[in-house]
Amino acid sequence: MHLVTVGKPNVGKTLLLINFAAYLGLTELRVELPDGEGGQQVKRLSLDRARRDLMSWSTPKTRVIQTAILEQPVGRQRLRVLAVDTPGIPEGISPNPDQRHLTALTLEWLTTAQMVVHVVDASAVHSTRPESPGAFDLALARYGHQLASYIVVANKMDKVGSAEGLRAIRDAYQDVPILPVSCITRRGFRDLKQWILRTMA
Amino acid sequence: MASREMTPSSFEEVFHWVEQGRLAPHEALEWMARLAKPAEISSARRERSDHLEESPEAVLAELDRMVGLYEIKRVVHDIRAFVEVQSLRKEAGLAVNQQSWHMIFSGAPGTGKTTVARLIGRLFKALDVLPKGHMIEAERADLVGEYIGHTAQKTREVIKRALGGVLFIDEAYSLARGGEKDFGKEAIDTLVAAMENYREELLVILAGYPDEMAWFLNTNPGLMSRFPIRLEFKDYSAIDMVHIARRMVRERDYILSQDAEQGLLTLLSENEGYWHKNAGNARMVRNLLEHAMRRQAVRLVGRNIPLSRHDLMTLTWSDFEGGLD
Repeated sequence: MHLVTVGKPNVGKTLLLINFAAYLGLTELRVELPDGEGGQQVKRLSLDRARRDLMSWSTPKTRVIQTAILEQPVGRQRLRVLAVDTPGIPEGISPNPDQRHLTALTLEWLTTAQMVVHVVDASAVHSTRPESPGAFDLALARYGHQLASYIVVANKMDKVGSAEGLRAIRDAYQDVPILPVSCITRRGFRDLKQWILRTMA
Repeated sequence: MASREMTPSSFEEVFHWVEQGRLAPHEALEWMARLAKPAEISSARRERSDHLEESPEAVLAELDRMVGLYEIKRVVHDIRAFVEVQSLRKEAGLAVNQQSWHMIFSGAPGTGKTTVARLIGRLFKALDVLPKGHMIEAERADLVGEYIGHTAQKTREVIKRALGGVLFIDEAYSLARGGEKDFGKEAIDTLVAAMENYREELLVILAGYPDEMAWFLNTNPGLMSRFPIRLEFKDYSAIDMVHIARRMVRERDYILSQDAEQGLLTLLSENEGYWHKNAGNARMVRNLLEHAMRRQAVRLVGRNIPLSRHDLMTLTWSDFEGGLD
């Protein structure tokens, strides 16, 4: 089972995965990173290390598609989800060919993954910051509406102005499930887990 | 602006255009939404219709996807054309040929006889020649009984299960092996009688090794005329077998490294002729691959560094060496 997180740069896709892994009780992440020479490198990172290495507070940090395994015992079984963390997709046609390549790869993941988690920054609605939801998010919601399991995660619900943002998001994206989440306060993680389990069942 | 007016026809094309900088991400997603819709609907419809009716084209497409078997594909396409024209003639009120479709498949093991037989059952169902199109596999032990009178009863039971579909008798020559007094002869007689009685509802396919099948038909001259369609399953060529290997590993989430593919091709072409009778063609490829998968596991476990997806998927030539003995 593949779960892919997509969204604009700096909406918190990577931290969502790391903190969600912490919520599931994992102590380390097994992360696969492309090593740039066509092969893949496997790293075991403690969650603190992952936070330090894989994300940054200001600039977009994720530059490659990285995967991590999330495990959760349910009853007697262990459910395994391969979480795919993608680089943020900026609005418009990028002048950088590498960025365009990554965008294409990310879009391809959308068609193969069984679960698509669309992350938007609820606190950035109506702002001019690059992570503010825009045409890309609207188009993704429309595409996601056709998928079997697609969810919009309204992230950063701990920040000021996010409540209004959530309302605006609910107005703009109709007919798709929207989940308010905060990676800092862990709000919405329980629902997210329930959603994943439901999808896998 | 010319590029904007063109419409992408597949997801791949959309991704390609994104890479080329011809589409912004949100435009790409709009195309993807548009491309996904008809496909999903049609696949849902196909699934539903699977239970009710399958189109002959779909079955033939599946046959065409099999590696090699060119002669057999041609014959099956011919049969399909003949059946369709016959049904059109019937509609037009013309005389219809009472063609019987019983077949003989001769070929080495692992050349696809069972798979093709199954497809033929489905094809005939799609063409409305057979009502059910399922396949019952039987061999000597299923047909021949232990005492006088037991054989006819047993054979009839198998035939009853196969009615409406295909009765596939593997290694059919063994029915004649025991000589004059063997009960196998009784099984053949019962079978032939049933073929006449249930002309519309039963398709019998006899299969076996080429030499033995030729001998079998010679011992029983009446059989020749009752099985008008005889298909020969040729041994796969080395290239075909590499294609088969490639397909098999893909189904199991493995990949062949380049040297493995090259080595396999050399090994198979050097040994061409060696495996014909015994080793069993596609089945041998499968055994080779299964052996390689085990060796790969041994190779990987011995390593101390963490393994990536790539490592776990790749079969190298060193995994294959020593597999054919």
